[in-house]
Amino acid sequence: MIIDPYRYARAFNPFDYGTVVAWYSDTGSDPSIWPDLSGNGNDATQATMSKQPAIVPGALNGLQVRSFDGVDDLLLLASEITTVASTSLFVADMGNSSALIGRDTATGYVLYFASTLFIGDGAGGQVGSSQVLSGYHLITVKLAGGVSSLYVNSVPQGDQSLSNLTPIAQIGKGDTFTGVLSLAETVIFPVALDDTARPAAEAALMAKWGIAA
Amino acid sequence: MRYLIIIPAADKDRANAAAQAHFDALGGAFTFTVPLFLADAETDETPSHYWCSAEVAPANVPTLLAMQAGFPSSHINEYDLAAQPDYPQDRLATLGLRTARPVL
Repeated sequence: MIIDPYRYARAFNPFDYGTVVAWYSDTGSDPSIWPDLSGNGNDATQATMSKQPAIVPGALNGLQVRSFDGVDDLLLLASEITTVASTSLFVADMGNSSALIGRDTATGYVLYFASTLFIGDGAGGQVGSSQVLSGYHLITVKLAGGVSSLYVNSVPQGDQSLSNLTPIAQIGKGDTFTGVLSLAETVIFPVALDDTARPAAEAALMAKWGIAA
Repeated sequence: MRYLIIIPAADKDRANAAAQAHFDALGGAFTFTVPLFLADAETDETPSHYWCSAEVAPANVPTLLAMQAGFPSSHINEYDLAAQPDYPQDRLATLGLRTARPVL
């Protein structure tokens, strides 16, 4: 028997921190589907081959990630996530210009990167980080009471009142952002995690993926 | 081998049919759905082109390249996604095209 000595050190279970509405991790071998591990059956899928993000084994801390080509790769959620309050955690390398999640047609929430990281609400409202990102980071978006809060590697980046922050309907978006996106893990809680649970979840996820604070 | 494929909007239906027939029976009909616009177009109402980026198995490359004869105004270029992450944008600039403007 081969025992992975790092297995327990990097274990991450989002259910330790709250109810989970969707969870995509380093699992699956079929590029047409990123299985939802939350138990809600909200798999992220793409039937068209040219739009399927590639699975890259061992890309980060020995674990696989999904790589979106920045032209047309896109995964669609089986069901749109419409919870008004939520906490979303992403382990991602957003390249030089990419949209991570949300919707960027008409109005709607989009988490995107263009030199720095922004949340846009489709109506001109934005909250952004002044931090220039390079390589993999843990990005957290917390929505509560109409206020959106952005964190990078567990460090607060700013708060802003935004509208139109739902639904979350897709992962990656090639229509308007053409940078390569590498996405390692996505967890969406249907509640705004408090300031005890959120940092604890972030620390565990950063440990799993070897992201330094 | 990864290819960036840009087709005129007028060829969209024919190109999607060809993609389905030759490469992707399940989802090929939706290969070309991402619109492109002339760089100086003021609105995003009328796409001038569509594009896709696809990993093509070496055995299928001759078929892809042969299809270009049926789409003489298309642009089919091989590139390396890891080594040339900016290639798609650079190619658009060369051709005087742009992607849709994001709604933020």
